[in-house]
Amino acid sequence: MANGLSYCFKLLNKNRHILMPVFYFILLSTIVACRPQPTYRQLPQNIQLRNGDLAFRMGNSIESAAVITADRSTTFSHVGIIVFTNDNWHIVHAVPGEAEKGAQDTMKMDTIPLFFRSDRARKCAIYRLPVPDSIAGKAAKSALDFYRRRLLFDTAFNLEDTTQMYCTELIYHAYKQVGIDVSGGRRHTIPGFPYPMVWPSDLLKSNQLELIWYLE
Amino acid sequence: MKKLISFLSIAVIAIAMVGCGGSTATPSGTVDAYYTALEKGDFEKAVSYIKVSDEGDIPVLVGKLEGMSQKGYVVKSHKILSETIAEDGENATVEVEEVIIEEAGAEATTQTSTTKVTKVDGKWLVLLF
Repeated sequence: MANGLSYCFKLLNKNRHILMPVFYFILLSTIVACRPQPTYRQLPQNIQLRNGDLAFRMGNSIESAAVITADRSTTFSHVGIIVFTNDNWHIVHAVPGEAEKGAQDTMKMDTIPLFFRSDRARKCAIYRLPVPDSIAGKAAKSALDFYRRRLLFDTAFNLEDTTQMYCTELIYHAYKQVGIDVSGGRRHTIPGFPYPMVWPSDLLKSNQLELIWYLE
Repeated sequence: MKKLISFLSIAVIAIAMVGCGGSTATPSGTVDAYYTALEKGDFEKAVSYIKVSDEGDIPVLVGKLEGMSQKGYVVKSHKILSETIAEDGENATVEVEEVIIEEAGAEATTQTSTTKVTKVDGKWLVLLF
């Protein structure tokens, strides 16, 4: 028995240059195979969307969960605007870090299941502004125009510079074009930094938004 | 030996007291810790000194600080000038002299600003304005 084991170890040791890569390949394949695949979330069929509806999500990023502060009434960390184009509902939004490899962070237009994919959203909602369809439709068209201009993500978070946009800024300017201030005048300036910001939570606080769909 | 034990005990208690109070025990301490984190580029830590009413706003805040940093915006140094605590004992203002570089390659500029802080659960936190 001992001789048998000893022979096996010798054999393994002798062929380790072949066996180790095989071992690592199997290990890596197992890890990849066991990793949960993200879920593409479909809206229920009874949900009637409208151009200009707002799509909110709470991200899964480290920052979203790591910092603990005073009041943790979690709402959402990202927002986009819903547009109907190319025979399908899409969400136009400005987000960093989701561009193709090597590409710049320009504005994006994702399908709804992709926008709400489980690895990007741990909480999802769609809200509607209390404005006529025609007004919301024009805001959606403005957002689509911004998207077609391939505007870059605004890393300075400068609300007044419309050559680049961050998520809330896109919604703010899309509705500003039709004379509506979705921020309700709310601004936040960080000590030591220029340019006041508008946050996704400001949109929820400032408007009589109607909840269309929610998933957590 | 007894003296050594007494000394070590006092040292441990002192460290524990400072540790429990931490940098947020005073308005100046919070503002100093906030600016120090900014200078080190530790933006998550900097944001932890800010009073945020909604957790969803935190990634947006961190994103702003990271974005500005990528553009070359740097808080190079700071100096606490004064601290004024309001009569209610719950709010305060801290005067800060900031040395800032607004973009890569630009000259550093010095400016004075007032940072508002408020007490939350016994900790002083920076208020956005």
